[in-house]
Amino acid sequence: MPENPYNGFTEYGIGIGLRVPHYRHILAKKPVVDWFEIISENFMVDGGRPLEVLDCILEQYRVVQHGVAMYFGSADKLDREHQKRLKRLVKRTNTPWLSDHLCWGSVDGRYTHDLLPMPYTFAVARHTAEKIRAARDYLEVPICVENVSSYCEYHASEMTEWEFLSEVVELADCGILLDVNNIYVSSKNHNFDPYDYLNNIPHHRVGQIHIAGHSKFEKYILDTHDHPVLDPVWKMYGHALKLVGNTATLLEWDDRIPSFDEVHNEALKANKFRDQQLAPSAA
Amino acid sequence: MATVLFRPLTPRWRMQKRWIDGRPMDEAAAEFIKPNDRLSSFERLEIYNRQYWFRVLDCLWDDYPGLRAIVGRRKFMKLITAYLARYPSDSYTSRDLGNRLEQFLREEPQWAAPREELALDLDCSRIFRCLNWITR
Repeated sequence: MPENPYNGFTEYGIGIGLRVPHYRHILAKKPVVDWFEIISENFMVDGGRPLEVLDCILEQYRVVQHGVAMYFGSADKLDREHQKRLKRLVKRTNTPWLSDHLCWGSVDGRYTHDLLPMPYTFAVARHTAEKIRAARDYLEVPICVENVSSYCEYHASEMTEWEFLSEVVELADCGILLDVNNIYVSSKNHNFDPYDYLNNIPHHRVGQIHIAGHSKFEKYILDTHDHPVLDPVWKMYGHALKLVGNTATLLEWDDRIPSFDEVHNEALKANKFRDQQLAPSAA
Repeated sequence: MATVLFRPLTPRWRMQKRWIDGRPMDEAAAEFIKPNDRLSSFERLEIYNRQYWFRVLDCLWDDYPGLRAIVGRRKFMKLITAYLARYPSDSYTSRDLGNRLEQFLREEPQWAAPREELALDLDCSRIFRCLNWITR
């Protein structure tokens, strides 16, 4: 089930996030990496080093765009300037699909630069799905929405997070970027069983998976992306693979970024883990 | 919720204890945020309030090393906090966070005292900021 309309009928393996501290190493050593995920907004510029590096990367590697500022859940309409620049970048990278978060982050034109959880209501689901459809129609590329990690819940919510995610993607007819680490973080912060989440979403819509590390505090867990992937997340990743099949997976490491080799080794570990999980004997 | 996030933290980096109408913040937070068995509504909301400020302050800290050197680290933090409280981000990219900093310094030069003139001579700051972006 890896190829589907939500990832542009591609069959990508394990990817790594393209990050500034690794530029020099990647351009000089040209390591073998199946694909790189870029943060779209970092390259939605008129020129300069970001685009110069991106063009060099595009000559050698496959690139998938991941965004942080579409804010499908904000009450505001899609930002036209953002959409225009994003479309220009989509044409440049030829990304087979793009992703952004199921969250809100702006209000009345003011931006929080955060990925804020939404109240899980039917009205919000309809509004969010409408914006996803509008973005997809304009950008002309499949869209996957990513579940975010969260630290609070609203009284206004009418359903669980996984029910909300399912409602949105069905209404929008879009894909899911399933962030396994985010599910784990939220499950600990909100006392739910993460396997209920994994088991109860439309698996055929999963176009991509994220795995990452997190940080434990006394009373909550933060999604910090500054560690290797932890054991419970590996376990959930294995379960997710069995449910959705061999799916393009990104290893996220965005803070306290170690050497490229260390991140690369973690990606190779993910590759091996995925092969083991999907081997016929593991079924 | 956005109004809560945009409100500056206390000097000890905590969420303010009173809401804008004078009510205890505990009460205001409990109206829309559920508590859990470990954290109150206030504490859950505070995570986001702190994350917001740490993120935007970090961005300007990195973007304006020149201005930071002119006014000093402590004053710089106070200056950019006052700036962001007046002018929250109006762009999808944090790259534009400082777009109105020069305007703010002209409106309220006391934040850079006693080096207002030097701080307002922002050519140096702009050059640093551009260099940062070009080489990033």
